Amino acid sequence: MKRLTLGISLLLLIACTLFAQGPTTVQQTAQKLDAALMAQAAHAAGTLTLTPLGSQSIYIYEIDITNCAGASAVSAAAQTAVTTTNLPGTPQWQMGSGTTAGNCIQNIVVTYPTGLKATVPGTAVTVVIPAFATNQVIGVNVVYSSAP
Amino acid sequence: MKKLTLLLLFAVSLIFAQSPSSVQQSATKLDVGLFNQNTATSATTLTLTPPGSQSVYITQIDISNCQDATGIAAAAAPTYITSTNLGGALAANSLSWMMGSGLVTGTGSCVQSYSITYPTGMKSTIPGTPVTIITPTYITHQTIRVSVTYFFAP
Repeated sequence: MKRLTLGISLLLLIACTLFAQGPTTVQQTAQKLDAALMAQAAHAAGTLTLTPLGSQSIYIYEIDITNCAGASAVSAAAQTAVTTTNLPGTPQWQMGSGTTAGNCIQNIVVTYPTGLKATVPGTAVTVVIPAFATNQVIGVNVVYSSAP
Repeated sequence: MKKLTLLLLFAVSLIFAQSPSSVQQSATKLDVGLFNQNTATSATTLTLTPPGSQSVYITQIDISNCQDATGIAAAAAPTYITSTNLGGALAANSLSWMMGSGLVTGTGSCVQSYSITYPTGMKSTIPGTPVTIITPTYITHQTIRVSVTYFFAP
């Protein structure tokens, strides 16, 4: 009888341990930790510099590029490109010219569903907007985060 | 001793009978777009106000830039859909989207139609503060529609 009681107690102890454990969570808090937090935008030729915090890496989630003409037509010229540094494969996006006044010839939306991580941690990523053709305007938005 | 062994075997069977760990805290999908605001009105502000101290998470923005059926939008310098409280503390970092004035021919045509997706969400910079999306002043015969999908979370 004593052994039976001991056995039942042991069984109850194991059962309590089993049913006390909660399900494994995939997110530590209700806060969405992988959301993009930072952005840079430009509508002029130049360099966007995305500097990570300390030794962290830049994660790019989205880039959108618009290539338009102003009030006058854009003269046809050789293609230029929006270029990058410190990203795998150094992606770049070609920009055309030669469009009628007021028109937009390119609306490029590039999405990285899980992020595109910088090649070298602790080093800035740059997105370089080329010199414009006469009457051309190129707009660029870059959405990103800094994380280990 | 025999009963004790049987009990232990029963306990072991319980251990292996447990269901697999769940990978979602609840049956509700917590990161889904829940709200949408859109406008086709010139110089209008969409205000996305979070409850309490929560943040706004934008999941998608759709933009179309068209001309109406009665005339042609005159060629002009591009205008911009602008935003506040997105992308960082610096106003220069706020997202904006360039809008062409329109084709010189093609009444009723659309010069731009595109969708921007933020797969993991674009979180507002300051919690508890609205995000705003502002349409530019339209040129005569031009209509720009912007649609913003979002949700709120800590």
